[in-house]
Amino acid sequence: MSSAFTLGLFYTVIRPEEKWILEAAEARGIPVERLHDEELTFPLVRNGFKADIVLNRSVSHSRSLYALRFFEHYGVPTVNPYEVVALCGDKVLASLRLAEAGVPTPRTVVALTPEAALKALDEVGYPAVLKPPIGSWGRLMAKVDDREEAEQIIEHKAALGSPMHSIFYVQEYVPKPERDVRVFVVGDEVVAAMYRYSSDWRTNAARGGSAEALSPSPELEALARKAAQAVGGGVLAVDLMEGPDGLTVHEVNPTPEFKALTAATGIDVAGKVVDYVAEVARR
Amino acid sequence: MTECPECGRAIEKKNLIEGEIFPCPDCGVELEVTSAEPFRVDAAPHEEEDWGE
Repeated sequence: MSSAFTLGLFYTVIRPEEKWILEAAEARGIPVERLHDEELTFPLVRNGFKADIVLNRSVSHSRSLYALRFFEHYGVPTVNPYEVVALCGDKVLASLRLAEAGVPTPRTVVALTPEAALKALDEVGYPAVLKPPIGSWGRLMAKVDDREEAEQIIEHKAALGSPMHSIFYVQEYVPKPERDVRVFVVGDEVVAAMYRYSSDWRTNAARGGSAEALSPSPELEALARKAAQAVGGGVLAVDLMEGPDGLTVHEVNPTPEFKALTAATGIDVAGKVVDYVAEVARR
Repeated sequence: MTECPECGRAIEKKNLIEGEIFPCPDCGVELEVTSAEPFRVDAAPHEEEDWGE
């Protein structure tokens, strides 16, 4: 089998996911150009690389954003596109888009100063969850049980100095089972789903939770697809919680990990991703 | 063949590829293949604040 295009793999490190992607491309006869985010330079006029389409697997949100915008500028399609990554990478913008599309999300209030953050927490009610607008792997997220705790956490966040830690994304704490749901969507297809278990209230697999395959109900599939489409579609992991009022989408990940998902389901997620990239390249 | 920069254990290339991260089988520190030929490893890059999914 031979390919009419070269796939550029934009990456930081080669984790199992990236290794599987390289293997899947090789099995399909797709030549791969490795584009290491620590080494590339980006002039305003394209030079120095030959990829016809770029699959973003950089683990750095900032590097991803600038690089994707440059690839777009060079006329090279990317999976995912810049707009999708920019939107999903900012919890505030993602919440707005999901709400606009009618996707159920946890009740959310945003505050722009420490003083307003206390008001936002009062509006949401305790316990609540305080998250940085940009950030992953559950980093610097806090479950806030009462006002006294809120005052301390907000003071600490403000002391971090970064302007992004002075924007407060406050979300209701959803009393859920010790698990959440991840649905992996590629294009229009739900390719795999799993429960992520953890006794920690953050169920991110990166925090050491365990995973179990899940056969998604039609309702879950439809909701995950709707969330993926709302943010622009592509290769996306939709994270949902099962609350007392039903399913809510709390995050859509634009550069998702799928090691745990592959292990739990046995599904060749990397192959699905590469097939989708090939489909986009043919458009 | 090279050595873990942390504990000195011998590390074989096997099917590792450039850029791949893996734990040292002895001390568990996360390593990165910085060169496949000649085979070299170093400590994996530290996670930065904007790293994630």
